[in-house]
Amino acid sequence: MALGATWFAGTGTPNYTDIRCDADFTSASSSSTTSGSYIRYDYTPCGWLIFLPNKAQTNGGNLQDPEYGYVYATKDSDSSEVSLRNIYHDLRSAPAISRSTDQNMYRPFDDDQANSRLRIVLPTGGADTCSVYIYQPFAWYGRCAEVIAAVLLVKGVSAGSIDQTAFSAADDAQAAMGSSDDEEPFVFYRRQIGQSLGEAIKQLAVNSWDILTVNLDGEVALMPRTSVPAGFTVSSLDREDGVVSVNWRYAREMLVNHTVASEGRYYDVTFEQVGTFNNIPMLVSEVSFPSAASKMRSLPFEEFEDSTSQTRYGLRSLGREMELQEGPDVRTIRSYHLPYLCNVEGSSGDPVAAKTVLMARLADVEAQLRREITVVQDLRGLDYDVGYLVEDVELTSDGAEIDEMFCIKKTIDFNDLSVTSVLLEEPS
Amino acid sequence: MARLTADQRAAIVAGQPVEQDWTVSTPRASGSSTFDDTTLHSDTGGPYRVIDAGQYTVEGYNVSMAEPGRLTSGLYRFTVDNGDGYLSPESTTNVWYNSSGTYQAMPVECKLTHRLRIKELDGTWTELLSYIGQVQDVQFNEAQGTAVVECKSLTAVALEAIWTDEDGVEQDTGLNVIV
Repeated sequence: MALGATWFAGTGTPNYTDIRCDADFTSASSSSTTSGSYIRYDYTPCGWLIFLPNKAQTNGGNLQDPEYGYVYATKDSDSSEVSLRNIYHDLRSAPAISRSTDQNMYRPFDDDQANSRLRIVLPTGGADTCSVYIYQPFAWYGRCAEVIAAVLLVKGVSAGSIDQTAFSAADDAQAAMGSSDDEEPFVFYRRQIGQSLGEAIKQLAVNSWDILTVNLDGEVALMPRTSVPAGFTVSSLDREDGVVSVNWRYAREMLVNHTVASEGRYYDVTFEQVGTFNNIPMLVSEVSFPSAASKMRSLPFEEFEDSTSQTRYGLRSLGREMELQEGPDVRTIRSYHLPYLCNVEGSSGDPVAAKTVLMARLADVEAQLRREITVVQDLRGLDYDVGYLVEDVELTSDGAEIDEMFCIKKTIDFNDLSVTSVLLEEPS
Repeated sequence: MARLTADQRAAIVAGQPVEQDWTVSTPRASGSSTFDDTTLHSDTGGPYRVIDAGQYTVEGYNVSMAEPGRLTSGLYRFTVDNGDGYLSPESTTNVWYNSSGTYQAMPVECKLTHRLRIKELDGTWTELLSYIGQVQDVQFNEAQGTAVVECKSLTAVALEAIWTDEDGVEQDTGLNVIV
């Protein structure tokens, strides 16, 4: 579904505010269980819910966190706030074992929308029905293009400074990557205090295949690299198109033929018993992954290797070096981690489909030696912007025609009115 | 079908005239959102002050996994003849002075618009490119009587915003929530 003008304006159904973690309990039903001096309320379904840090340390208060937001409960009888002992949702295991706890780590949120359950535990005296509220305006879960656009809008970038056509096309292309969420580039992002808006959208963009740019018209654009619409496509480029000069090379620095990829965010959780209530999260802490994951076991990694490419071009590894414990052995690997990518809606905690998509990108595009052409044109070079698909490029003297290239850089010289464009081959 | 229209492409191929203009927008008062425009340079009719029109570069990010590239900052520099001190806020008449508001702005309070237009075959002028930036700096070269104006696109300025725990939205952090 295209992102229309009303989506960006915040007036449509849906619109950009709909992908925030905005818990809706209007349809949730609650039940309560009393155990000794504690009472537990269950609410379900609650839509998707994100982990609430330090939620077990709020005895006597409510949850307040500058990044996650605010959670509070009130008595239905008089609307007075009640003191929370615990607040949590059903935990979703991550396919990884923590070194510090030697237990399963967990995913950051519960996205099982139809069955999600929020639980609060209160000291007694609370034998009174309660309502619970979550206010988390700066946490998003959605396709990459949706989240980037929403972050821009919430942070005050005007809709007029966003290339809505490009974002809509990118979102359509991302949706077309699969028939379910777990095959599409879904991201979970919450604001991080101190992070710039530009840095945030860059880190989100890498979870897609698409090119992020501030285009020639001064608009932020996410340009689709798959299913490119005609409006962002130039059907041919040859020496008759006002070409002044051409230089080209093989962009070896972009070649990747080995990495160990992983995605998502991970949390260590320790549990406590409150009254007769078991397995209540007591301490929740996000693991700085993978830098703090040294010698962890059973990491959710997928290894990519192209031995033919390694023989021809040498080892081209992607990512940061880390140690991985495999039984009694410690192995040093290079890990490429996408922390915001969060495709967990397939089977519980299983991002297999997302990794399959990622691995396909590595094999089909990143592992290929690609040509890079720098072409200088007259003002006809303004016909395409960064992120445009340029088809049937015939600029080299060998007469070879390159089927598809993407423009990755443009320089306009306003003295001689020349336009220099850098094109990168897209293997088909 | 891409950025240019068929008429614009035809005009470029035919070598039709191209013109550029630079406009400075100054606030009427400190912090005012009302701006008034002064033409710094226009190829058609003057004044003629720009002596080096400079370059503008746009780059893409997420080009590849290994070398993701840069999200360019939208910087634009150009050089202006300043032999008469027109670019100096200290002179009696200068481009940064807003006569409607009788307000002497500093360069960094002002915006700059740079347009590139072409005359199509039917005589109509249409826009090929339009840049709007916030003035970041002006470097004066007294010996040469020139000034280099440095701008950053308004969008790039917006992307420099930092997440804080007070993002201008009431109830945003929970620390001051109103139940």
